[in-house]
Amino acid sequence: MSEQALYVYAIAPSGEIRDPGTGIDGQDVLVIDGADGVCALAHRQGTTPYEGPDDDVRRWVLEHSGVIDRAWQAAGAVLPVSFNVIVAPGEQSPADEALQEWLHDNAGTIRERLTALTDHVELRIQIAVETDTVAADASEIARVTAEMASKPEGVQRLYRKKLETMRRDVSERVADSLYPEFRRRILQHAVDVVENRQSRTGEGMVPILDVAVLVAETEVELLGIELAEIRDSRPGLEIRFLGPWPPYSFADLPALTPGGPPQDA
Amino acid sequence: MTGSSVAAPDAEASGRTGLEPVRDPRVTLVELVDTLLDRGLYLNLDVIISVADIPLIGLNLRATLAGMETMLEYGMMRDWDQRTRAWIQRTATRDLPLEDDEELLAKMAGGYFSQDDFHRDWRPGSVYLTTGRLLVFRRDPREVLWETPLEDIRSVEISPETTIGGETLDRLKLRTAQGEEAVLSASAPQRLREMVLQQAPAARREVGASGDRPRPADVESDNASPQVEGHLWYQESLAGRSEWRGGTGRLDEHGFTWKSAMDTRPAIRLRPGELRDVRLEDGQVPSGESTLIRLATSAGEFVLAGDTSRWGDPLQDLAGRHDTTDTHGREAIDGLGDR
Repeated sequence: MSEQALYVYAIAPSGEIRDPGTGIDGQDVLVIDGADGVCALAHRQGTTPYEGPDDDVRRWVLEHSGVIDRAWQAAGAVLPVSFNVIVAPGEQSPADEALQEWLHDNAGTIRERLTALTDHVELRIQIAVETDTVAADASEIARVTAEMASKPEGVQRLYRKKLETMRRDVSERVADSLYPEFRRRILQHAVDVVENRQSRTGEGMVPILDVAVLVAETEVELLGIELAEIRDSRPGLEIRFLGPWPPYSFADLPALTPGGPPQDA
Repeated sequence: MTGSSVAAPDAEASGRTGLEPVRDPRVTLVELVDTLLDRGLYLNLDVIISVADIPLIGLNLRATLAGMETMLEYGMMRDWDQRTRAWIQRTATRDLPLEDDEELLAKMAGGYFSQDDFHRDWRPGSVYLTTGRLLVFRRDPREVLWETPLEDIRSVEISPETTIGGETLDRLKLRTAQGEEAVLSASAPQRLREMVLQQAPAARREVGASGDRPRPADVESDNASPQVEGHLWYQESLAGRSEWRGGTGRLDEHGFTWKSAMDTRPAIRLRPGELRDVRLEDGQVPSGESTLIRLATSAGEFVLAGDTSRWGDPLQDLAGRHDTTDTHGREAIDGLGDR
C-alpha cells in the first residue's frame, strides 16, 4: 500500500547492470526493464518526496549520485535522473507499468542519447580571479588609496567604502574581458556546455566562469593542459576542475513522448 | 571511465603538465549537490518531484529550474511551453495572487522608494511586470508595496542616482495618469523600462518626450556611433561541432558584445580595433534568416546572423574604427596587458 511508487535514479542500457546495490537510506535498487534495450534503476517507496534538514539532503543526494555513478561505470553510459523524481501509480495501473510504458515509448530517443553519451564525461570548471591581485594593477585604485592616507578618520571610512566598490568594479571588468577567451579555449575540447548560474567563490575572489562541460574521455587530458595554460597566463587566477562525473547536466532528451494523458498544470 | 588517467601521448611528448580533475566527494560535495538538485533528467510522465516545496508534475525541462530566475529577469516567459509557463506562474507568484486573465511577464529583484510626510526609505522586494500591472511586492512580510495598472503609466525614465558609497545606480522613475511620481529600483532597470514601454500603451506615446534620456555613459562619451541593441544568433564552436545560440548583441562606443541570457557574461566582446572585417554571406540559419554576418577579429572569426539592415552598417563602422577608447575607467584593464 505504502510502497506503490518508484523513486528513479537513472535510465541505462539493458543487460549491463547486474548489481545496482543500495540507494537512499540503504534501499534496494531494482532494475525495471523496459524490454526495448533500456531500463530504469529505482527503489520502491511511497509517494512522499525526500525533504528534511540540509545535512540529510546532502547525504541523500550523495547516495543518489552513488547509484548513478556505479551504473555509469558498469554500463558506460547512463541518463542520470534528477533528485526526488518519483513515479506515482496511476488510477488503473501500478507505477512499474507506467515506467515500463514510458521506457517503451521513448526507447528510440533514449538509446540514441545513451550512444551519444558513451565515452563522454561531465567535468565542472570554475575560474575565478583574486580581487586584490587585480586591484594592485589598477592605477586609479592606487591613486585613491594614496589620497585616503592624508584624510581624517571619518572621511577615510567613506574612502574605504568607495575603494571597495572600485575594487569590485575593476575585478568585474577584468572578469568580463577574460570570459570570452577562456570560454572559447575550453569549448575547443567540449561537445556540450551548460553554465552554472549560482557560482560560489571564496572570499576576495570574483568568478569569471563556471561551467559544466561534456568532454570525450580522450580529450580530458588536453583540457587539463589547456586549463593549466590558462591558470599560468596571468597572476591571481584560481581554477577548480572537478569530475569526471556521469553526464548529470547533459541528460536531457530532445522530445519525449509524454506518459499518460496530457495534463494542464 | 573514472579517475584521471595517464597523460595523453602528445602531452607527454611536449612535457606539458595539465590540471587533473578532482573526483573526491569531500572536495566536490557542494558542487555535486548543486548539480544533482538542479540537473538530471525529469521523466515526463506522472511523476512527483518537489522543487522549492512545489510539486512539479511531469516536466522535462532542465532549464526550467536552472534558468528560471534569469529568464524571468529577461521577460522571456514566452520561450517556455505552455505547461512549463503555467508552473512558473504558480511558483513565481505563489504569494502574489494574480487576476484570472493576468499573466506574469517578468520578475526581478528591486524596490520602491517610499516617501510620505514622515518617512523616506527604500523598501526592498521584487518588481513584477504582468500583462496588467507593474508592481513591487515583498514576500515576507507579505505586502504589495506599490502598484499601478499598465494603462495608467504615462512615462518611464531612467534616472541615475549616486549612492552614499559613491556608486551611480540607475533608478526607474515613473509618472502615472493620476500625476503620481514613483521611483523604483531594479536589478536591470534599462531592460525593465524597455519591457514596460512595450506593454504600457499610454507610456509609449510619450516616450520621445521624456523617456529617452541618454544613459550617463552616453553623456560622457562623444557618441560618435549609433548604438544598436537587439537579437542576434551566434554560431558557437565546440569540439567537432557548432551550435546556433540566440542572444542579445550590443554595439556602442566601447565596441560590440553578444550575450546569451543563459550565460553570466558576454561570450563575444570586441573593442574598437579588434574587429578587422565584416562580411555578409548567404547561409543556413535556424531562424530562417539567410544571411550570415562573419566577423574577422584578432581572436578569430565569429559567425552571427540577424537583421542585417540594422547590424550591417554599424558593424562595418566599428571595423573601420581604431582603438580610440577613452581611458576613462579602462586603465585598470589596459594596465594588465590582456590585449
